[in-house]
Amino acid sequence: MRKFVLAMLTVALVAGLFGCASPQPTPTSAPAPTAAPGVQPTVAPPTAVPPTAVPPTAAPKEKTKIVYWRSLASFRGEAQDELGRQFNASQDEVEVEVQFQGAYSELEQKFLAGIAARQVPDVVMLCDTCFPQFARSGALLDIQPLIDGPDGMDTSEFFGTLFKAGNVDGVQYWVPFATSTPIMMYNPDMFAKAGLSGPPKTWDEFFEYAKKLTIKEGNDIKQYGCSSGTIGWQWQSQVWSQGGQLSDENFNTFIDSPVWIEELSKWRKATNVDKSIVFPSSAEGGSLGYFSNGLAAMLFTSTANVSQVVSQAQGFKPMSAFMPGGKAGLIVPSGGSGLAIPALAPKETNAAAWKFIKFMVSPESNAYFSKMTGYMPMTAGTVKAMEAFLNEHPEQKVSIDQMAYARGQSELNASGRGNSEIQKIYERILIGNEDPAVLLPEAQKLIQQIFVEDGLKK
Amino acid sequence: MTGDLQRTSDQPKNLSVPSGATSPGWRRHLKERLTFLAFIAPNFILFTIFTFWPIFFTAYLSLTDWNMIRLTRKMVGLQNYQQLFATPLFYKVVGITLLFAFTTVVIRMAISLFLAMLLNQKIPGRSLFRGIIFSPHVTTTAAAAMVWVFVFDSNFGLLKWFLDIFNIRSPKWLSDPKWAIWAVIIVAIWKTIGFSTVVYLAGLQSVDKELQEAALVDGANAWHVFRHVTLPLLSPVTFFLMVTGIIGALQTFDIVSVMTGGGPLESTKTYVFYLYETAFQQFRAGYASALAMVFFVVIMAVTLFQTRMARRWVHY
Repeated sequence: MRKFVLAMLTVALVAGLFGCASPQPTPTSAPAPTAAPGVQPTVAPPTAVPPTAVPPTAAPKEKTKIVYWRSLASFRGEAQDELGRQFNASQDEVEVEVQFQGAYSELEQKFLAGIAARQVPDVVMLCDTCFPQFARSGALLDIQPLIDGPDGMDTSEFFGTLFKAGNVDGVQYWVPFATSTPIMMYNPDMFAKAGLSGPPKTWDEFFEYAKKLTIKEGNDIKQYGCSSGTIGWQWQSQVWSQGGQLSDENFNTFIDSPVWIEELSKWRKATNVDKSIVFPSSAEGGSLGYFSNGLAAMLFTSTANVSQVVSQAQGFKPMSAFMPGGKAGLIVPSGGSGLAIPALAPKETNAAAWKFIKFMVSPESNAYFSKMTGYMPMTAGTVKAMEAFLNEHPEQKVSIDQMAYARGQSELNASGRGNSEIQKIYERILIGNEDPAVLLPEAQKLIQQIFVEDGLKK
Repeated sequence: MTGDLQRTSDQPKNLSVPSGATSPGWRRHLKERLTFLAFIAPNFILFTIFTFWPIFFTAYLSLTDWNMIRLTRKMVGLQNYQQLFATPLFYKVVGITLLFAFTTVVIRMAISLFLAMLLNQKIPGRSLFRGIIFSPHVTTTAAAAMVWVFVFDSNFGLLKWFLDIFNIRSPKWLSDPKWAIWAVIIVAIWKTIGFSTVVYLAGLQSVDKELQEAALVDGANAWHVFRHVTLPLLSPVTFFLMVTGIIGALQTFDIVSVMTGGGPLESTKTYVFYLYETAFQQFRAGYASALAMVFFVVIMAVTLFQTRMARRWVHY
């Protein structure tokens, strides 16, 4: 029996060893070809392909090869792959290889690992709230010299604060690429049944409508007024539109201000007392799943999701509307991702990387990407290039019209740790039904302390 | 053995020659030692690179403040540990992890022992059942967890459909903080039950039938045979499953990551998920390393404790 147990423990250990080793690409794949060169036909090709691919293209002039790490899956990713192909076909100096590295957070982790291993791409996509952290730690290249250089860029073309969002502590690191704003979508059939003629114009109307649109049957809720994901992004719009503030440029936050307490109390009441708003876990299809399956009448989403929501809706035609406004009118945050050059990328490829970035944000590419994905046109030139398309797709037009009310994201979201802590605060109020008047002063202290620890606040 | 004999006979010589390096006995020892080193080298080098070095490096990182991007790390001494033990979330996460580990291991072992006893009978289609029960073990955890997400869906899920038959209202498995941890526990048990069943089955088949028959002849009933003969004889297997099971359960990450992301309201945040989140979403390498070191010590202590206790109840 002892032998048996020993044997089993050994097996477990060995299994554990291999289990641990398998995610490391080098140790497992490297020994294989030497151990059994003939038995590994599937391993050989990938290493053999690049050399064979080089000779035919290496004609008179050697192309500069660059690697671009992108995020965004499915059609949002395919559109980028296509732009990469168009870029390669458009000129013969630079050849880009577009590599998908997962969702924003996964790409961020791989970029981190890449920095540690000194293996970085030549161009990297980073979301607007992720890149400042890298910029402040010296991981990104100052691109101002490239903007001002011979192959420069006219940055005044970009709408509003879009381009300025790439500036951290006075240095430009990032160029916006995939930009969107939060938007409201609603189910017109459910609105008609509830006797409502159009989308809510103000936040107070929104909570009132949500209650009216909720249908209960005993303890069961057959239809929610609204399904929502984490509120962080749209919350900025609500605070601003109601005349409040999230933070200022010196990283002072206003989490315990009256607007915060008042507005979050409305959310708390709606989700816990009225039960008119639901926060489905992403495992249950998320807020989008609830809305498109006819379980909720309103949805907050990104303008980049409009086409997806329209195509997924089951048995109704969703309409899009401006975000609700408030005492201070309507203000929405822009958001999304942009392109940056890692500081560790070889200096020789910087010019080529810049050429690619310029191509990606040119009116033609921007128009193509916008048509394919629903991300915003970022310049007047792009809007002109998209005129015909927008006439055919009125639901996309709302997003563009709303762009006039956009402003860059608050500094509140500039620290990864601060961001994740503030999300927990929202959750504790909305799902955990805690009192904002008690919780928010605590949160204010915590976030300010984090900003000091992260070296953001002096 | 010859080496030992040699040493005793060499001893007088060693005394007379002060520089031991030149003595043939020492040389023979050197050769033996080198052979020994050569034999353990492949394993030892791998362990050093992939296990010992990371542990030492983590210990060092736990004393620093580092966001993984900056090239410099700031030494902060034991500050990370102080902060950790002063954070309420740390204790909440430890509580969740212990609840998860204890519940999954106990329920899993009870069910798998029961299944193993059934499968040890001569029933038709026995190997088919064995195959079915073992199959969760060979599926990818992430894929299996995804499928379970659909099962748990409170609006359209399989489980809701099933509960509807009995007029029971389906809980919001994955979005209700009270239920989410149980959804994760159910999947964890389902996933690992096949392996423990097979190990128990192997244990049952190596139990000496004569001992059971002898007990029957002595007038013991089936329950007594099970309780006083079979179960004690299975104790080494139980011990093995408990040690590996608890270590595995304490380290759970994938199911949580796929099914709940630690939520809702941090109700399913297991220790390793918390560690991951701290390191790779909040970029606090130092703090996360301190978490890892505490975890390392705890697992070591739990395992030592179990081994110590085993002397009282495990019979070889």
